[in-house]
Amino acid sequence: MTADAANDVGGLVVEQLGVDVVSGGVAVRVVDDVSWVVRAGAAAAIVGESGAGKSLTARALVGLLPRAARAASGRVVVSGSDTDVDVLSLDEPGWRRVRGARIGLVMQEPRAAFDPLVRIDEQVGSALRAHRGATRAAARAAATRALLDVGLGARHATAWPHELSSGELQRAALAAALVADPDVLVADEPTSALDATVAAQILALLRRERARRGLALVLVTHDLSVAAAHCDEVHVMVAGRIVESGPVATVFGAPRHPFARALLGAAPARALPGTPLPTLPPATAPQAWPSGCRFRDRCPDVAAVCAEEPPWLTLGDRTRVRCARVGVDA
Amino acid sequence: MNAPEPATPPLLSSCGLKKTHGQGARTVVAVDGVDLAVHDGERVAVVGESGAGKSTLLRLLARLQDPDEGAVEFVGVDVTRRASTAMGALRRHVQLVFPDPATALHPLLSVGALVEEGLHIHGLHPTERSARVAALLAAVGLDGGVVGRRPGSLSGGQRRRVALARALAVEPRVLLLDEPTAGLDVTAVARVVNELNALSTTRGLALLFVTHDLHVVRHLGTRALVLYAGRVVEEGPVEALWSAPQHPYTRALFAAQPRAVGRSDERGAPRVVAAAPPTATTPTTASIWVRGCAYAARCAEASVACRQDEAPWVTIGVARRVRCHARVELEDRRASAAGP
Repeated sequence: MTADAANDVGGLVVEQLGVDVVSGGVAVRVVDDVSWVVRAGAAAAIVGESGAGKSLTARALVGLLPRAARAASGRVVVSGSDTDVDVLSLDEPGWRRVRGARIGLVMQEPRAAFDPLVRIDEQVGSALRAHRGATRAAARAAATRALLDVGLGARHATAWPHELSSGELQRAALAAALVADPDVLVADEPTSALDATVAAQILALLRRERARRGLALVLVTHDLSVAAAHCDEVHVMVAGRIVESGPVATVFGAPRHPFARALLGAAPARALPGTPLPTLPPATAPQAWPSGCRFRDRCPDVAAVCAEEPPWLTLGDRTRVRCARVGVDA
Repeated sequence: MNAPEPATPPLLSSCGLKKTHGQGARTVVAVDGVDLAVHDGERVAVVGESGAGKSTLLRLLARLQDPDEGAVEFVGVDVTRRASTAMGALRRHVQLVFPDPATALHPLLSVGALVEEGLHIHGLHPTERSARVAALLAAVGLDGGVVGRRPGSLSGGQRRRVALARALAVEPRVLLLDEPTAGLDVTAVARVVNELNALSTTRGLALLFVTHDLHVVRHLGTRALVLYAGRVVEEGPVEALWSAPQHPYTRALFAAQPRAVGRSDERGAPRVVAAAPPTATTPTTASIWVRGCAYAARCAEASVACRQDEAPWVTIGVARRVRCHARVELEDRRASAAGP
């Protein structure tokens, strides 16, 4: 897949993204060869265990990697409302023009996203002041409209962050991310700190705004049922790499990679009550990831061939699997 | 005893438990007249939204907070007024595991020291103690290598297991768990659920757990209570609640849960519960819900009766009951139809 694939409609193209984390003077590739395309109006889910590199991938897309990490290879191209931008080539002043204006971010913990000493409307409108040169009054008025769009009223606009519930704050965070009308929205576990009922409201809101604005949505989640219900495509990550990609119906309906099968099998939503849930050995730290297939130290279906780099296998229905054992008779 | 042998008292029970937070116009009734009982080996789930009073209920049951009204009993003995010996038994046999072990574990103690603390009451020799620590860590699925590490260097799932191993060190009979799987990824959730099920089966440990995840309820719970605004609105066996929820709130709660991973026939956006639960900007004061059903303001089926009086409990089959006027009316209609 190339950048051109998304150019006609806009969206996000990620090509061979690699992220290194430097620990004790040694760089470890914790996100490796990650590629996908999300078209405008579509949603892609990134799923996998804690420590698989989902959040680092999301942070690389918005230029907010932690100090010890850096995007070491690849291209991340945002296209749509303006000229295409390879965000990995941006310096910090460049990022300040792009972040919020072309690509927005919603994080897991909305309380951490707001300055406790600044009123909600001021913070929600800040992207307009930064990117569109809006006056304070115009930015606040636009913020109030954006808050209205996400179901919050004037009462919330002038409130302090501590006066809002987590669900209300996450709505406000969404309003802040969308106020400057970006082409791409990256949502990193946007509902995992929320109740089921509030989470359902936020997800419904994301779905509506995506359709209305033609947003390309990247949803990082460990909740497979959320990915299944709200995304078109899913990318399954293990140990920093994508091992299976495809339409959610195909990947969740008939997962091919042994890790994808194990992940889905462990989901309490799928298993029958009364029997132990199928589990996997815990994931290892990046320093201990094996060569060849990164899942082979935990794989129930491992063979000698897995010590080599696994090939990508393209199946029908745009599904791709990175496993030497798929298609091999047991 | 001359009287007929009474049934074995439940391990832990409460009667009319009530607790309010805040003052004046901002008073919130966190727990409002909760009766419950947990028996040996039972696994009871408490479900409801944030602010429903789930965590307050656990703290009241662990006697970390005093109720405004009502009583907590441990093996039939009232421990609400701090009867000293009964209270000691409760402290020993009822352990609360907090939702965020990052704040519940001392950051400067090693995992080994944290787990060992609980063993002091057994008066074991130091060598025996370290063997017990290793056994406890193994019981919760932790590698022995974590003994010398501090909580800060562990993952969320590992910290949760340390907190669990620490609670198990005193060999409790009841574990109270506040969100035991929140924030864990799918495979870690599966490991924690399996461990808790195994502990309950092999040691007869009783569990009372609070969770947002209704799938976890289904895999871990034998019975569930649905809490809304501090009140139990429905309770019964988990499978019965799952397959046929009776209270409009239970139905809404279950409908809001995305159910179907990979079952294309059930795919689609989960339904959304109308209106938001009470929050600081929309304080639901005691005076608002002192009368009637607390859910009436959000309920699509609410009638005049719902806003005036709390519905009486309607018992359905075995060990199942619901508090809803619609259900009372249904029973009345059935009774009159079957009448003479």
